[in-house]
Amino acid sequence: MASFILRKAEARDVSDIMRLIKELAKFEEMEEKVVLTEKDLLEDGFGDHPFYHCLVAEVPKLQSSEGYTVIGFAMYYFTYDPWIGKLLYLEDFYVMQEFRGLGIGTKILKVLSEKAVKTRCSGMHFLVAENNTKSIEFYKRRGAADLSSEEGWRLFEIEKDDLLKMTANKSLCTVE
Amino acid sequence: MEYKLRKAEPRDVSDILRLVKELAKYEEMEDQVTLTEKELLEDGFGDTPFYHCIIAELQGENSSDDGKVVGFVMYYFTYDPWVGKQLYLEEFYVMDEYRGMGIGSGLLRHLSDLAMNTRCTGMMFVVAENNEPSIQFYKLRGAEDLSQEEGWRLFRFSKNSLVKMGTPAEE
Repeated sequence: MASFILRKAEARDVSDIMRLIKELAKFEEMEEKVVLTEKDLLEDGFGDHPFYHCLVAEVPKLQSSEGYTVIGFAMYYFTYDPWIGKLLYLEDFYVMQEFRGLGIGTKILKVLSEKAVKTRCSGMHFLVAENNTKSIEFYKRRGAADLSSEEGWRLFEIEKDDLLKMTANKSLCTVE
Repeated sequence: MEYKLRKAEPRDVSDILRLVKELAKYEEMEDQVTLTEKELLEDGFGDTPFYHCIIAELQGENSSDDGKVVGFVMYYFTYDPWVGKQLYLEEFYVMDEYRGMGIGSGLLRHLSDLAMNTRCTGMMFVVAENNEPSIQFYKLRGAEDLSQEEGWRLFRFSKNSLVKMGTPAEE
């Protein structure tokens, strides 16, 4: 039975965070899409203005078959709903396969829930792939509502190339 | 009629709330707006802003229209662990009578500049599936429906669920 701790990620954790991000992307069959580097993660998460926060789950060294001590993580940040205010946004949430079923995921969610309530958030939002039934069950068991189903929200993206196209046009208005 | 775009200031919170409520009404969800001007002020103009706004203001020859706030965008920065910083467009609204004048396009252009200047890799936002005019507006400018293409669904834990999951408060 694994004993584990949860703690705030530190700058030294970026290579483990990168590894786990890639593992989760592989699980979602989108590993080639990870272009972020450890350098980006370091600047963006541990500089003057962090754009994300991480919780990491750690086990004693001997417990992992490959010698990793960081075996799970959650990446989150704060967003804003103009109807109800601050939200905690859960961006990534992953526990390595060999460490599942031990309550680590549940504990991570618990710590995040406490964080959200303490920082006066009105809720927690996150995305789940529609074919990820296991995760959907995990979240629904804990009271999560599928807003895409219930309210018809769809996620859109305008990628960099198209953003650049929009910046190229001459502006007719005064911009301050 | 000319207009200008500028960063929102604390004095704009009542206009921001007015436009938030107008947009909610358009989405038929007006009763769900419980946010107050006080919260908008603390959350947007305190030590740690949780959101940013760009305001569209009229500059008419007609002095009664001058300075009228007729549109806005609310945005913040998010993080995609595959590609990095993103600009997240939370709200985007131009009052009915001022549409078709290029204000919406101007706001989107301003946001695109901002995203590029802050080294974001893209802009994300949600649209209601029945909001055809908005879907067309965005698709014309290159937006992709990731819910359709990649199957992403938005989920929520309400505050009640969060409290249930957290440690019970000590008595």
